[in-house]
Amino acid sequence: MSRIGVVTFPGSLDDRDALRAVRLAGAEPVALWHDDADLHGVDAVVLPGGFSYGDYLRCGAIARFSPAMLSIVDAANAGMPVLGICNGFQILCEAHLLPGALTRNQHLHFRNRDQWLRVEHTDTAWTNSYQPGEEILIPVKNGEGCYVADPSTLEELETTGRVVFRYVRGNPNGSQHDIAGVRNAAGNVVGLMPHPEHAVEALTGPSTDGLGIFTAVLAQLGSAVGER
Amino acid sequence: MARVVVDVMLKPEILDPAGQAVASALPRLGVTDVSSVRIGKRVEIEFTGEPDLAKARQLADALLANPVIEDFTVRVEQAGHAEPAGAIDAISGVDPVEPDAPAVVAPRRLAPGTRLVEARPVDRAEAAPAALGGAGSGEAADAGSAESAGEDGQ
Repeated sequence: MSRIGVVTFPGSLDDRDALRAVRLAGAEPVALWHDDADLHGVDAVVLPGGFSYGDYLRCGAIARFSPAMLSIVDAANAGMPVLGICNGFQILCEAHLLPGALTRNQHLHFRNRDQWLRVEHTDTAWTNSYQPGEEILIPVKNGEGCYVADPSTLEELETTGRVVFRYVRGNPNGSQHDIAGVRNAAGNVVGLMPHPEHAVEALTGPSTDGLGIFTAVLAQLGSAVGER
Repeated sequence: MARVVVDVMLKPEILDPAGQAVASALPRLGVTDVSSVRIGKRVEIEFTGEPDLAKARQLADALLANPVIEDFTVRVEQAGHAEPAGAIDAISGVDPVEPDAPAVVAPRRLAPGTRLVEARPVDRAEAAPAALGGAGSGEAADAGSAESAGEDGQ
């Protein structure tokens, strides 16, 4: 069974939900600790939402230098699937595993609502379970979710298919190009502001659309094993 | 003991909604001739020994600023002095200037007694020093006139 780690930083909020989503998807959830450089042999890592290290200085800026993150950067560069959700996305940008940055919501309000996204590209470790152009409904909740990048980076992201998720039916935070999530060039690292781990069960979520992100990585890991 | 001051600002092309919110509040103070407000961070680093500008610059680039969205400047300031003792270095996060480039020193504070807003109503004389934005106690001297200016404005 694939083992998927979820890192808990001081100030993480959604690590438990992420662990649960991993379990519901059929993988073995492994709790990782920010201060532990040992990734305990996991096959993939989820960086959960919250306010790591209080989000002091900038969101994700301090978490980037935690022992766990330093190991994760190496593992990600070696091809391990890594997903960053909300604060996890911010950490991935701060760690330069993903381009761009997340800034204060343009309207300055914390935005908490169910949000429609379009899955723009499915050729990543975390989105291969969706159809290209499929629209999914998952919660978004952030105060600093406005995605920005310089024009040439935006251009490159668009032309190389690296905008993975786009807000549709309303942009909750002013993100450029309505960008909700991006991937790295290899496609093993994906970050998004909305919370798929909150949409994995009918009882607690607006849909179960988020589960596909966690099952996608299992398919990816399965095929990777098959290739070996 | 000397301190290194790192000023971090959003790059000009990055939207600063907090600065915009402040700018949009200025007309309420009677200020109508401000076209833009941008908000940054000032980080003061006290070294135990000699101030290490190179190290401070590394820190700024790696942690204190995010070069994707922010520029920064690094300079030495004598602790306890209100004004910078001399800007030794002024660089952007991406493109450091040559070491002998002219230092950039912007005025950091209003001169003592400077009024922020002539027309602003001031309820109490004690409120005036804070409104002036001064850190030094000597700047409270003009509080009375600030109050009367406020009354005139009404």
